[in-house]
Amino acid sequence: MEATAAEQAETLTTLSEMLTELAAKAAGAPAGAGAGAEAQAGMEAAAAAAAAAAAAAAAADDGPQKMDALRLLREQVDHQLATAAPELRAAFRPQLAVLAEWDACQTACRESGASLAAAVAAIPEQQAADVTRDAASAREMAALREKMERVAATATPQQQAEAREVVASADRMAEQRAVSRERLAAARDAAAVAHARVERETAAGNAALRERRAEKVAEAAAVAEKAAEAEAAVATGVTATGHGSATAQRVLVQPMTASGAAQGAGMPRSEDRWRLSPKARRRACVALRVELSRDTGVNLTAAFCEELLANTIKCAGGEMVSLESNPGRFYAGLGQGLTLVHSLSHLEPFLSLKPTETTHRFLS
Amino acid sequence: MIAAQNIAGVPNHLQVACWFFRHAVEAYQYVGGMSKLADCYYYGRGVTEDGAQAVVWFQKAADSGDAAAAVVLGSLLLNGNARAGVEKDAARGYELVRRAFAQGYSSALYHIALCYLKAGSYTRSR
Repeated sequence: MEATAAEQAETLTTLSEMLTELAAKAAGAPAGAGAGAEAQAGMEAAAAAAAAAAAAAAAADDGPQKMDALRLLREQVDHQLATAAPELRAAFRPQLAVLAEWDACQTACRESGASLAAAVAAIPEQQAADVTRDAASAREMAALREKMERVAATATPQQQAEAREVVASADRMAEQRAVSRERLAAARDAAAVAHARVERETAAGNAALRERRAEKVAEAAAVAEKAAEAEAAVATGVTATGHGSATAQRVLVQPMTASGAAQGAGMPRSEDRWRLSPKARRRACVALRVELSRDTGVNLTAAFCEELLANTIKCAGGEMVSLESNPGRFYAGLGQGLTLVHSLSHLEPFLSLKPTETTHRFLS
Repeated sequence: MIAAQNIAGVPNHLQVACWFFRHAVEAYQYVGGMSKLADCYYYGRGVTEDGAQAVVWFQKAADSGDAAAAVVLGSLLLNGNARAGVEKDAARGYELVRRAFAQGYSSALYHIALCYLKAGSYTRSR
């Protein structure tokens, strides 16, 4: 563990101040007061070296380098204090107390780190000890088994048989335990493999799902674009001419207007006007079939239902109504048509006409 | 134009017809379908005959501005109708018929005339 940058800076300040004062006092000390002229020269050289070390410590980056510089500076200070006069050392007692605290803190940090390292290092030893203990336990068990066999050898035949049975039973139990351990290990391995497989498949499935979702979004965007284009064509009065079936030709042609409806009244069925997209029409068809089946039990085929909804109805007043133009009136019109068909079916014998001919005359 | 042969291909005509009327009313709030649905209940076409339900739907249609439904309901009230469980209420019936006539529904005039004929003093006093 290392001291923080703030702590290092504080220590550096303390040491620098101490060096400065030491150098000043050494320079101001009278010759012969300490160890004579040589001592004075040594003190000045030490002060200069200490000043250089302080400058190096101040310039070093925070972290290990600064710690090394601080240690060097500290050695210089210690050396100067060791060679200084006793009264000079007494003058620096408060600073020395601070340095002692710093040393204690560093020592504690080192010890803490060492204990942690020791604990980590002890793990393999503990494991080894566990293995040794297990081996010792196995040896003890084997010894006990041998002892039992010896005892059994000296016992009566009945006791020997019982002892052998006990030993065999213990062996079987040991085998079973071994098998169980193997199975457990195999199950663990299988679970790990399965887990890995599930994770892989989940990741692959998610990716596939994302791809499918992206495809759907792109598809929906394409449909929306086509619908927008068709709407634009409708707005500009362009009439699309389909080349497919009659039903297909009714899709996305032009809006149902009063004038258009009046014109359409005399047109053949293949030119009935539609605005709903095929998707929307299919959705309406599915909803109709589901709800009708649920409420009445009557099941219509998809093709029949779609054809039914593709029609336009000529209502009272001559207005042409389709599912798009007025769905409520359209459904009510279908209901009226069915009621009429039902009424006509009772008149068929009297009218001597085929049902389709009759209904067609009345409805078209 | 509606394809007659397609319509004829629908099984259980009246039941499906009644469902279409209800669908028009409930899903699209089509007022014109209310009186049709009321008819279904009144005559038991495609549903079990239920006079009370018929009156409920006639009333809803009349309240929604359907003059024809108002005339039918007014007629039931003017005469009373056991089948529909409606007791005679000439004042309310006359009011419904008169309102329908005010909406421009000319058939209502026939019932107004009947009111004058059958209860002359009543209508004249009003």
